[in-house]
Amino acid sequence: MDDAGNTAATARDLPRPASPGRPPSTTRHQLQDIAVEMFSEQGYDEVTIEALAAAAGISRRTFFRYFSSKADALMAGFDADVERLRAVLADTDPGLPLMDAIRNAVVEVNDYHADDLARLRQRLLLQHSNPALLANGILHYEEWQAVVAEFAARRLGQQPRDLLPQVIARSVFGAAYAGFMSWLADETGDLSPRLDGALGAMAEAFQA
Amino acid sequence: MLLVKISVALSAEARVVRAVPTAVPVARAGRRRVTSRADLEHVAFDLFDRQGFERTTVDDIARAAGIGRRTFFRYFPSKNDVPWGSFDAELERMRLHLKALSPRMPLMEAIRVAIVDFNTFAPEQILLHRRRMRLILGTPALQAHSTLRYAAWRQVIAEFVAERTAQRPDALAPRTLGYVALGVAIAAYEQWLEADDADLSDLMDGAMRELAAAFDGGPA
Repeated sequence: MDDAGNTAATARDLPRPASPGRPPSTTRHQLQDIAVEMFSEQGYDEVTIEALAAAAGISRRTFFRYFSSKADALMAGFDADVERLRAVLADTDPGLPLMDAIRNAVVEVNDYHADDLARLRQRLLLQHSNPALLANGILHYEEWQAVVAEFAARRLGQQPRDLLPQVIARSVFGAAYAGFMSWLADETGDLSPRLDGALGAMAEAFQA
Repeated sequence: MLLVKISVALSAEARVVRAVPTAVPVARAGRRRVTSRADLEHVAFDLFDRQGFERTTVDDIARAAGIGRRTFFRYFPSKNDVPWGSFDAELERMRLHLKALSPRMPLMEAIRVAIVDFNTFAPEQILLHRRRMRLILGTPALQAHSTLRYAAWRQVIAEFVAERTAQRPDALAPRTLGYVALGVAIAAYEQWLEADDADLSDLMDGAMRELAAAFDGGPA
């Protein structure tokens, strides 16, 4: 009926994404690659979870051990980046000013290698071509902003739900998003300078 | 509170009723017909509260308002537009406001002044505006439509920054500051919706000032 016996073991044995450095290739990432390929070729709405699982050689039940929905399969890389952001912020030199610390961490976490950049571009284009994927992405963006708000709150001696930590989280996310969109709008180029440029433009405008 | 948070948001109208038709057709017998856009909004919001946004049709709203379907469409182009009030007219007002500010006023100060003004409402309009923003930030089915409105709002900021800094509106800095301003406004809105006694324009003003202070090395 199902393969709960061996998949439970598989799921438990999965390596956890490491903190610093790009996370190692995990099953979540492999599933994401398969999802990007199938969604791109067949269209997101046409691909079933069964077909996705079958292409990966796992059962539907196992698929749900990694992701809670079909759309989530596209967010493995982003989710890993959120955890890296948390770790990098936690390691930040306490002497570094708050907004500089956040800017550095965001740029560091998104320091993709050239090969990964091409895949990131494909993933983002796919996400922006489908309303369901875009809406799902927005839910994951909340977690990114929560991580920034928690860091800012700690530094400021406030609660993450307070006004300033929330304003910092939402505005920095906005700036980073503008950097991503600007990079995506161009056919080529490196992401890091664009991200750092966007966060720099924000800092410059407020300090002027 | 379950808020659907887009990459950022903003507000709507309130004081402007310019586009509203003055002659409203006679209502059907036995119904209290609505005679203003704000009344129609309230009727629609009551239905959204009772039966959900997605399950409410334009026909439902028109019937409850005692008006015809065609009259509804003279107030709003679609159901999705109801929570946005006269957003386009308000946006145009913000554009003109920014243009009228002294060129010597620092860039972010000008944006702060414009955002605070955009989100300043007369006391009698506050309740309606709270209902609007709860819908806009809390209704998943509105997200796709709202994305377009957010983009239009960001564009006003981006064009102002572009004009001030002699760049194209889609250059990195103008584009970024559009997103940043919207992020600030959304954060202020979320705080406002969580506190019944909070003042929206004070929150907007405080949000921009505190963020500026954070860049200067300390909270306000």
